[in-house]
Amino acid sequence: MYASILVALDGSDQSMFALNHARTIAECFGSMLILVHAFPHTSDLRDSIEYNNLVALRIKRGEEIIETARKQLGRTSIRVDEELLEGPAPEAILSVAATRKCDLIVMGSRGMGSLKGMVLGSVSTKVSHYARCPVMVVR
Amino acid sequence: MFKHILLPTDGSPLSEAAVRKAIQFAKSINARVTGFCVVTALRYVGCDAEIGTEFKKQAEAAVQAEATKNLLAIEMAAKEAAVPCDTVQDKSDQPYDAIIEAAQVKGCDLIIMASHGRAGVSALLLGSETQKVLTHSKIPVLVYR
Repeated sequence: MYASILVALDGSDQSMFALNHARTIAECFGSMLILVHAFPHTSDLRDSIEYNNLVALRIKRGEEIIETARKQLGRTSIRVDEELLEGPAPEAILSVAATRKCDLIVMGSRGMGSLKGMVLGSVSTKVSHYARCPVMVVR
Repeated sequence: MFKHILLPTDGSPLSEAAVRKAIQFAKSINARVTGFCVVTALRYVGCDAEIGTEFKKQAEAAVQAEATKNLLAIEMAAKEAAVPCDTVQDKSDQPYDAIIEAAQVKGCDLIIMASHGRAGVSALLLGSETQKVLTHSKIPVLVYR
């Protein structure tokens, strides 16, 4: 039913809840988990001397987020793969879901956005609108 | 894992397809389901006085019967898959609100619904009720397309 499940990670608590849900579903269906983190795109600063440093910093942070997720999964029988790529996050998540032919996307309802009052974040809104596969939004 | 899934339906083909997939999902994870259908009040804006009570009664009964039929379809599908199932009908003008409340009252831990309902896929990428449930639900929501 679910051969591959994409989990969108941004380092927030909610994305960790999403990971837990995705894990239980993957264990039940023998699915492969694809951990995805998309860091903010920085191409607007491409001319600046700090550009390479900034991107390196974001990649490093992204690797930490994926590493934390892998640690949270611990020892598990499920297959886990990862994708670390430059955002914008909704486009990145959707493109991974499409190229990898994911059967399900699991994500938090809101992540690191600064608007605390937002009940459904902009990334989850976009992904749930444009995804071609089922989307589970977790709280 | 999820133990009790709420399945809101409006009887549209997309929502019926979502129900079928949801029942398969429930079966795989040993969850039970509650079918849910909202009956919205009929309004006769601008012509309320001209329409007879008899017609209104009939129209109301027809809408009610439709909801009962939608829920029966869920019950049958669940029975066929040997998934424990009950059904709830509610009157409300705000389907999304009724859906969220029903999930709470019934103690559901997941809502599964179609990306679109009766209004269809024509204009919006995500149906308005689904969007509202996604926004306001306190429990996970799984959207099928």
